Amino acid sequence: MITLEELEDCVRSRPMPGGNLTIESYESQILDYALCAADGDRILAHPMWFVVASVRCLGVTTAEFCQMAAMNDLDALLFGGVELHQIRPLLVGGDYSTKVDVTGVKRRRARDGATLDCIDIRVEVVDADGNSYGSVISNYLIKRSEEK
Amino acid sequence: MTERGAAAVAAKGDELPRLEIHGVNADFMKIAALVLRDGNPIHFDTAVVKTAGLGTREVNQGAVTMAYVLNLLIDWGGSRSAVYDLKCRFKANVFAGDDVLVGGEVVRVADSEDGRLVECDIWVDGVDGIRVISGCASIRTSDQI
Repeated sequence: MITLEELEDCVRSRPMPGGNLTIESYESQILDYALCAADGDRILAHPMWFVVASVRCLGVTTAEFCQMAAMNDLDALLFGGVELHQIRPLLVGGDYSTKVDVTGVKRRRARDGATLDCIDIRVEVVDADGNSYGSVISNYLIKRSEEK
Repeated sequence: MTERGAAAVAAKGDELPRLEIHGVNADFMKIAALVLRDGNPIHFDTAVVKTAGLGTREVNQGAVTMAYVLNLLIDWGGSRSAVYDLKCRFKANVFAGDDVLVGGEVVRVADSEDGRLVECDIWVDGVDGIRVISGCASIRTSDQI
């Protein structure tokens, strides 16, 4: 199994470029519907759009991320938690970009004894002028299949 | 500074109003997967769910279950701009058809020049009262735009 130091090198050696996001009105309305969100706000986007930005705009695909983390076919990628910080709400119709940083790589034991690697990725959402609207820290967990 | 929402008059120890979601909708998971660009098949392919040993029903995205908390906070805070911070730990899965209950409690109220910040513990309970999310949140009771 990859060591923690090797994992840290793998994850940090390839910067994630981030990406761009436009909150289209139709997507905003459709997501509101799927989230059972109250109808009516056509100006301020649901804060969930910060999470959408953090998933869509890492600049790497899920498959590429798994490869960076040296996952094998039997390892499982889990979503451990989210920290959302909203400085100001995103706007429906707004154009944004993201800045991505790996903020933590740790290893611990799961309750069943399996190795659990924890990777924290912070995604900041900014507008064209560089003004920050907020950020999301996602806690990805990799449950390793070996060394139970 | 205009105060808004029920959170504006909240005090430590107050319970947040509860929000119930009856029968989490599998079609909504598919829509959320499209918007999120989340290709994990456990959200839309029950064959994969079975193979993964997770049962027979689609698994709701953790972020979507978290969005139910956001809905409660938005309603209670009076605006989508009211949500300042939300921290969630995902502890268990929610499946298609499950009922979930969202709630919380005020743990601190802080007044400053920028307005009032209401800090809460929040939670989501699933079937049989199993806690699926625990966490904390901060709500602003005046506009910061």
